[in-house]
Amino acid sequence: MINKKYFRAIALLLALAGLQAQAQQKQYSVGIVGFYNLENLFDTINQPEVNDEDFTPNGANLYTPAVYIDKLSKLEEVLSQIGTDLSPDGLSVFGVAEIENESVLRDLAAQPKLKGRNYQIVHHNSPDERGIDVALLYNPKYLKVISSQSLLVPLKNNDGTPRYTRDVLYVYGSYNGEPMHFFVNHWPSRRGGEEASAPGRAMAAQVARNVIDSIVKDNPEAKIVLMGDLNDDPVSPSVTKVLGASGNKAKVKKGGLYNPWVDYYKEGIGTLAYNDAWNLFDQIIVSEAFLPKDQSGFFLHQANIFRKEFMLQNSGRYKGYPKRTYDFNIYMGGYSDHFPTYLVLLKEKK
Amino acid sequence: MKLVLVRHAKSLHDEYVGADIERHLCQRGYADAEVSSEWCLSRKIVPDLMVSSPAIRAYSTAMIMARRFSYLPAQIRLEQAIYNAGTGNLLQVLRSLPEKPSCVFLFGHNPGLTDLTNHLCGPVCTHLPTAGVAVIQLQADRLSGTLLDLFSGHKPF
Repeated sequence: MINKKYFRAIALLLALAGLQAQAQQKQYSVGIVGFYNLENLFDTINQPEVNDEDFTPNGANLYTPAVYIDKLSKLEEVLSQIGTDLSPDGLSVFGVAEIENESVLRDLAAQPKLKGRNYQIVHHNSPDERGIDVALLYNPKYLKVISSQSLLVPLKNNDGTPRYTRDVLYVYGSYNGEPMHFFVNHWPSRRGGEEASAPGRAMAAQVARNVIDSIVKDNPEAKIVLMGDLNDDPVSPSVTKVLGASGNKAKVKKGGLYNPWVDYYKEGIGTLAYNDAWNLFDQIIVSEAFLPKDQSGFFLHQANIFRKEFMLQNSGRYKGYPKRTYDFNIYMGGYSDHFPTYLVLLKEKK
Repeated sequence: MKLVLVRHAKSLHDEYVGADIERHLCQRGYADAEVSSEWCLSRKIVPDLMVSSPAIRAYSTAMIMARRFSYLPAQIRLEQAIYNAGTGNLLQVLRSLPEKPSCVFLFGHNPGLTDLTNHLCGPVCTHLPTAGVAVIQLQADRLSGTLLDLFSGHKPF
C-alpha cells in the first residue's frame, strides 16, 4: 500500500515536471480582442441633426453631465478588467456599438483605468436614424491601422423608399506584424418582429460577406475578425446562411468563417436577456486561418463572455440580467444591457 | 434644369451568383461613390431631386451620395423604368420629372446612361465608367442639352 502511494506521488511529480518542461518550451504572446455594446453612450449635448433629444439634461432620460460621468466610469470598470487575467494590457482591440460620436469615445479612452493603454479610435459617422454608430478602439502597441472604410447597408422602408442604418465598419491593419481585417457591425434591430426585420440583417450580413469574399479570393488564408451586435443569434440564417459562419470547426473550409458562440447559445448562455430568454447577439467570428494551432501567427484559443457579479441586476424581476443603464426612462446606474464578449488569441513566441 | 447622370459605382462581378438587380457594390464601389460625391460638392452641384434605378448597386450609390448632400434617403425616388433602360425609356423618365427641381440626379446603368448623354449632347462620351458623372444643362423640351462636365469617379476624363 505504502509503495503504491509512493509510486503514485512519483508519477504525479514526473507528470507535473513534464508539463512544466512543455510550458517552458512553448511561450505565447496573448492578444485579447473584444466587443461591447455600450448601451447608448451619448454625450449630453443636443445635436439638431441627430435623434439624441432623450439623452440630454432636459430630455426624457434626464441625461445630465453627472449621469454621463457615471456611465463613463461604469464602462471603464468593465473594459479595464476584460482579459487582464491573461494579458496585463487587457483588450488590445475592441469594437463598440451604440455610441453617439467620436468625442464620447475620447472621453471613455481618457478614463483613469484606460488612459495608460493609449487607445486610438477608428470611427466613421453613420447615418443611422437613432444617431448611434459603431467604432473600433485599439492599443497602438498591438495594432497599426492601414485603412478603414464605412460600408453602407442599403435598406428600404415598408413603402419601398431607401432607409439608412448603421454602416459596417471595415478596418485593415497590422496586428503584431500580421495583416488582419476587422469588421464591426450593429445590424438592424428586431423592432417590428424578428421575421419582419430579418431582411435588414440579411442585407447587413451580405455587405460584410461581399467584402470578405473579395479578401479571401485574393488570400484564402486571410485573418478576418467579424464582431458586433448582430441582433441575431449564432444559429440565425443571417449568420449561418448569409455570412456562412459555422460552429463546427471540421466543416469550416479555407476562407470560411468559424463561429465560436454556437455551443454557448445552444447551452442557453447569452449576452442579453429578453422575456426571460437569453440571446447571444454579441458575437466575434473568425476566419478559418485562426483555427490551426500549429502556425507562426495568432490562433484562436478561447471565446468568452465577460460576466461578473457586479455587472448583474441583483434583485427584482430582472435578477441575473445584465445591469442596464436605463429601464425605459429610469436611470438604473448599471453598465449596459449587453455583456461584452472577447477572444483570447495566442501566438507562439519563437 | 441641370441633369446629373451618375452610373452606379463598381459592383460585385465574377464572385456574384444571385439576381442581377440584387447585385451589391464591391469594396471599391463604396469608396468611388464617396469620391464622386466630393467632386460634385466641390463644384456645388447638389440635387433638388434624386431618382434612381431600384437595383441595389444603383440606389446604394444614390444613398452614399445623398448622405454627403444631406438629402433624405426616403426622398430618393426609385423608378423601375431606369433599370436596364435604353435611351427611349430614359427620355420618358426625364419627361415625367416634375417641373420644379433645378438639379436632378439620375442613378442608372450602362449602356443607357452613355447613350443618353450622347443623344442629348452629341458625341461627347465614349463610355461613362462606374461612379462616373455627366453634368448636362437640359433644354426646356428635355430632348437635348449641353454637356457641362464629366467625371470618371477617379480622375477627370
